[in-house]
Amino acid sequence: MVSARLDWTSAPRWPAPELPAAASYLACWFGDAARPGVQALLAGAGAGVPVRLAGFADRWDGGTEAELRRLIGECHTGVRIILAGPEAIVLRSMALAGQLGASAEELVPVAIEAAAAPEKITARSAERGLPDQAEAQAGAEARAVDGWYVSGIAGRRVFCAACRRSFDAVAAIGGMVSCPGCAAELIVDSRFSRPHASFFGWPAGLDLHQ
Amino acid sequence: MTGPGQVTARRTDLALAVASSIPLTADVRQLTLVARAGGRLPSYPPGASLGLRWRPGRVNSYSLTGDGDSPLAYRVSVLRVPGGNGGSAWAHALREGAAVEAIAPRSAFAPAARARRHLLVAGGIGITPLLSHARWHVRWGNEFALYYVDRPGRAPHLEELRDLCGARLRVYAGRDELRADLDRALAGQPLGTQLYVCGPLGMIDAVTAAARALHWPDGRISFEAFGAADEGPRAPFRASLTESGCRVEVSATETLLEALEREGLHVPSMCRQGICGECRTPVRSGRVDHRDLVLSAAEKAGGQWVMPCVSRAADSELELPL
Repeated sequence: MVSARLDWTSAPRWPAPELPAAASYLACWFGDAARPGVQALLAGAGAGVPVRLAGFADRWDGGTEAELRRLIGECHTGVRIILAGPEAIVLRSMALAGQLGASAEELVPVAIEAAAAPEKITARSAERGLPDQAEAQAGAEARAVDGWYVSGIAGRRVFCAACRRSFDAVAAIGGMVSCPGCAAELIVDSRFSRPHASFFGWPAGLDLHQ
Repeated sequence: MTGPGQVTARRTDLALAVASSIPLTADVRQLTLVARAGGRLPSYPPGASLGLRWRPGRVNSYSLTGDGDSPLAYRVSVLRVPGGNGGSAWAHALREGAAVEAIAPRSAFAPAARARRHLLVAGGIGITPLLSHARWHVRWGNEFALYYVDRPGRAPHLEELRDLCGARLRVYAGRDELRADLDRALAGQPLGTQLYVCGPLGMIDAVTAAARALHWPDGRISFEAFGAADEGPRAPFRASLTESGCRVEVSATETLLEALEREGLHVPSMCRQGICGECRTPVRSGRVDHRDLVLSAAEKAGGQWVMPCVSRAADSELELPL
């Protein structure tokens, strides 16, 4: 378990989604489990506002990317784009939307996390080292109150600092993964790159803090 | 980073000379300025403005109309403002060979780096920064369109714009004529389009309101006002300066900036119209009656900053850490 100050880390956080007013909507979901959340959100859409729906499987592949690229490419300014599904896929779809010109104000991300309990990302204790359990508990409760959560030990994309490629992994922040490209043992950092849709993975044995 | 107590901006002074002054229309002259020592001038981002010192302690800002890359000359187009503070009359009287002291270009209205398309809307002399944008977009092959409103026969740079922009330029004789076309355009822009508006305040309000009504996000709307912020009635108040221990009475006939200068304080300033942002000053306590066009709505609500050239105390006193 690694700890990081929640207000410092760039790890994605997921506030309860709200539907902003828009001239039109593009609503995409990845996997059937994400569909009800999208429908609930769209119940708040203004009467007569055009809505385009697109359901995908809960995996990212070339076909998904091409279709999403086409749908987003047909959007006009004034649209709000709902992207719902497992965190790693939502983050990739957000990165693609960003490449295609969307700003954060135009995206409504909805992450559903089926598998794991919220991870304890919380305040570092006074010296660098193990997190204070009481602090961790308090942090978890504070997030619950605000309706924010950070994803658990689930699929996430990791950028390998050794060979500079991203790959899909199942790892906790602070956990270890092996890079399928160069076999480096990586520690999954809490730093997250939105354009790469990847967490930073740095080779174990390099203590970046010294 | 600027924080409370760090209000002095770094500026670079430039020694320039007038290379030419030519009339573009009945009330607009184009000044071409070069370095007195010769050579290239500092580059600037599109939409930047050049400060010309037209009287000791007084600076007027004019939009540079070039593309900004390693220029051999700066060009500005100055509208004569009858009954203005005198800066435009001074600029109109300049002739070839005159020495001009200037403040290096400041970026205030640059193109959005990540936009995929740029929709430029200009009114009157507000064309000047957007001419700079258009040159930049042509140079780099960016997608753009320019909507230009001015009275027929009065619009500066029109022929140049026609050559530069071709079919990407649309010219309108009045705001109503623009309105119908612009509403249609705003509804059909591809995702990633940035809107830029420069012109009189009334036009900026109308265009930005039309974009917001079509749910353009605030971050997709850029504007630069031409003309002074709305000042409204003035009441006297007191400024208490916590660092120097001074108390400055600001009368109804002067600005906070003028009162501070009267007391011998140096507050960096340029436009003195609530537009350029140069005089941004921290506030320790007291409610501010914000009258500038610089601070965002959130900054105004935050109450940490005041633009003393136009803004005043909402109550009887403001405390400033000066």
